[in-house]
Amino acid sequence: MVFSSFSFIFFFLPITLFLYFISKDKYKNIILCIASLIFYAWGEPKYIFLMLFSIVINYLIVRLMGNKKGKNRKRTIFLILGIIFNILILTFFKYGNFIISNINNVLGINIGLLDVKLPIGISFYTFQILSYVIDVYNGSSKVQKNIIKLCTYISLFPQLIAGPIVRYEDIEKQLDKRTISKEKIVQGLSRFIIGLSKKVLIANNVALIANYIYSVNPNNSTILLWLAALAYTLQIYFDFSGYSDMAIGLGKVLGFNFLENFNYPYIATSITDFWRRWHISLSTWFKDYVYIPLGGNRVSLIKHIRNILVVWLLTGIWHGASWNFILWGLYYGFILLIEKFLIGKFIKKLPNVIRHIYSLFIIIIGWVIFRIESLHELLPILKNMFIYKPFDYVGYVLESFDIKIGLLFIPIGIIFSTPIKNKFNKNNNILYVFEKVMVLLLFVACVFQLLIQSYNPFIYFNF
Amino acid sequence: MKKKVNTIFIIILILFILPFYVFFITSQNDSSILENRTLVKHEMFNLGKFWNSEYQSNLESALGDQMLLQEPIKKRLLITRQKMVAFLNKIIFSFSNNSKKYYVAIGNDMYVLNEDDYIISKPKFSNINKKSFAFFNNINLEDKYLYYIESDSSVNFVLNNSGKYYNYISSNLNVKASDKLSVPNYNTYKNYYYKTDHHWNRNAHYKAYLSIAKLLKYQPIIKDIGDKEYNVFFNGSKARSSARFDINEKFKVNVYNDYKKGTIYINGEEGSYGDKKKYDLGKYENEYLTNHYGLYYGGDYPEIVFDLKDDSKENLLIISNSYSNPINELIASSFNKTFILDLRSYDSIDLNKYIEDNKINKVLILGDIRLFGDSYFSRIKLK
Repeated sequence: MVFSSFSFIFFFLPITLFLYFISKDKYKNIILCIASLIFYAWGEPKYIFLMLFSIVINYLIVRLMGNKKGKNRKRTIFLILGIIFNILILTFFKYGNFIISNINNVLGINIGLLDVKLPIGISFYTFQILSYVIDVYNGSSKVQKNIIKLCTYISLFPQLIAGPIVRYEDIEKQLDKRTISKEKIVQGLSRFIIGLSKKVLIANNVALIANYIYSVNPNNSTILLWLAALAYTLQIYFDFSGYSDMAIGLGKVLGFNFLENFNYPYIATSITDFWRRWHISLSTWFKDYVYIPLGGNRVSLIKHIRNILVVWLLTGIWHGASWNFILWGLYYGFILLIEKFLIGKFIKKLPNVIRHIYSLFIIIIGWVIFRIESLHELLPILKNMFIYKPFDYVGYVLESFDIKIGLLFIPIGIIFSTPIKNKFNKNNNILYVFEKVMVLLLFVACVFQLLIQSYNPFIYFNF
Repeated sequence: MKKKVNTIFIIILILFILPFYVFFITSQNDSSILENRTLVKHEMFNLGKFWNSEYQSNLESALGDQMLLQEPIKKRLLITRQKMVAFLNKIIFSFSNNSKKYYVAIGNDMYVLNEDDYIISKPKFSNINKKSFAFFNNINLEDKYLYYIESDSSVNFVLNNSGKYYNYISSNLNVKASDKLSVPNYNTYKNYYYKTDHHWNRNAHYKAYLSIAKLLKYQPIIKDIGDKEYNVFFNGSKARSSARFDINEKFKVNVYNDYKKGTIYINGEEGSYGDKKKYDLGKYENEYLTNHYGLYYGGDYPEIVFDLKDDSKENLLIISNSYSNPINELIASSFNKTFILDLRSYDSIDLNKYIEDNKINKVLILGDIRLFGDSYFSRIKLK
């Protein structure tokens, strides 16, 4: 089930919230747990058992690890067991066929591919489980003896399929006690609707441009390829940040406070700044669980560089089982190294406009690498973005309904990538009313957009 | 103040969501005029279907299809979207070369030429399935003919490549003789086709009737003695696909001299074909998007037979799609028995046996490019 569907908005969510609000506090976690499992099973009726299996095994491993302070041998063994178990599951389902195909290509053999599908959300919930295991080992969290609460944490439907990655230590106390108020419900629902609008109104429409241009002759002309790159840059931001807004909003409605995951990344003034604003939960996860344990920056220069590259290699791999994702991760790894050790101070002295242009240029190229999974297609596309190819743009754009629909939303996407609404005084009552009216209108617009997407006329050949 | 606003906010949301549960209590809608399809209805929960994700797909579709007022809302939204795109087209046109022709998209695979009001498709070579040639070539009868109908699906009006697909198809079919309704340019297309429908109009199908008579070597007896216009607008299939409900065209037909129609059999049972008399009496449906072409001329059936009980004449088999509907009767007036088969309704058929059983003397393959594509052979497995 996805948030941007009639089933979620008009069926699952109202019923879940109704049962949640009418139940006593001691039953709220059970209701939430069951609802979250139904939510996951809705989209993955078969793989729900994988998630339950993972929860049970991790529950047992951490129970056996115990709360004992200090890092003794037994606890370390269980930590390693927990990490290996979770990484193995993730590797099998997400990377199994990628590994096999590459072995086949390199060795010229023909090992059969696995007949598995990638379970939705496995990257997110595996990382959440890992954070629980590691936090208990480090002593920053206590063992959760109540399996329902642990299950609630791992399967919590607001962030189960698309994040943000909620660390166990951030939510531990909220599992036991959280407050619900009308104000929080309204704030949460408003945030949810804004996220839904980002996804349904902007992301889905600008996506039409990138999808069309990259599918109809990927080796297209320069301007069209830049248009596609811009469209995809907006698509991925509004899609992902939209989902994060929906997750954070729903969390708030339920009484949880999740940390922010995006902070207007496209106003970044350097790539270092960009990665403090983009998918914050993932970058902090890698910082805390990979970079710092490897020594961070408190090591020799060579090891420091190694640590940065390892983190970015893993970041790329986490995003997908394809070489372009690895390339994308290393692309940022090297640029961050260059900023850190070579040009960082120089960039800070430049005018803001230049810094923004520099950052956006690097970011947009990065998204092209991220989008084009085939390296055979990627290189000609990158080449054509920089070597001018003339083309009949007018005819091409006129001939594409998708591009025209997408173009209507590009300006809106550009404007709302900036913190324009933060400029308004939130304490003003009139503005508060106006904001709530706009949110309600956005909700109606989203429902209408979903309705148009279901338009499916039958042409009467059989009349 | 904020507390009151918050309360009102929640109440409005609840009031907006509640109507969605109405269809769980009341009856569900069966069909959509706008989309010309059966609407999905919500089914009871079934664990087996849930396991296969069928229940989930059904619920998602049903919630959209059964939404209160979904049809007028969809129509209004689609029109608004069209207007926004039309505005953008004007801006883009201002950058264009005015003398050049462009296909301007107004929907998925729906275009107009520059700012004209005829909705057209664009030709695609993938429309042809080469295996269809083997199927037709398998018909053993020597007196086999092809009448190919050029349309916007086989002529690119910017490149003006009329004849390209006819040449390809006719060179691959083993027929005694062939001819085509030629559409050499866009102006001819406009003369032969409806503004918002994929079918040909009265000018085209009468011309085809005369050409077919020449092809099959019989004397045509039907004469076009005038025309008639009904007080109803024809918004055809393309209006539905592109949501362009603003392009209006009155439904006009030819008037012919009297001719013998014989006994008509629809799928083996005696019946009538088309509703011409009803239209003449003014008893026609006035709903927008009504398929007047099909209602007036006759619809698509697996088998139609016209029996004039005149043994001095030959028997004819026409293999066609909906393009033959307006001229079935006209052609049949010159034959003893005329069999019209629409193969879209068949899972399999032995045409040679059919020809033998019905003592058919001539076969006419009549249609546009779709007759040689996957949509025509959606049920028959081509080898």
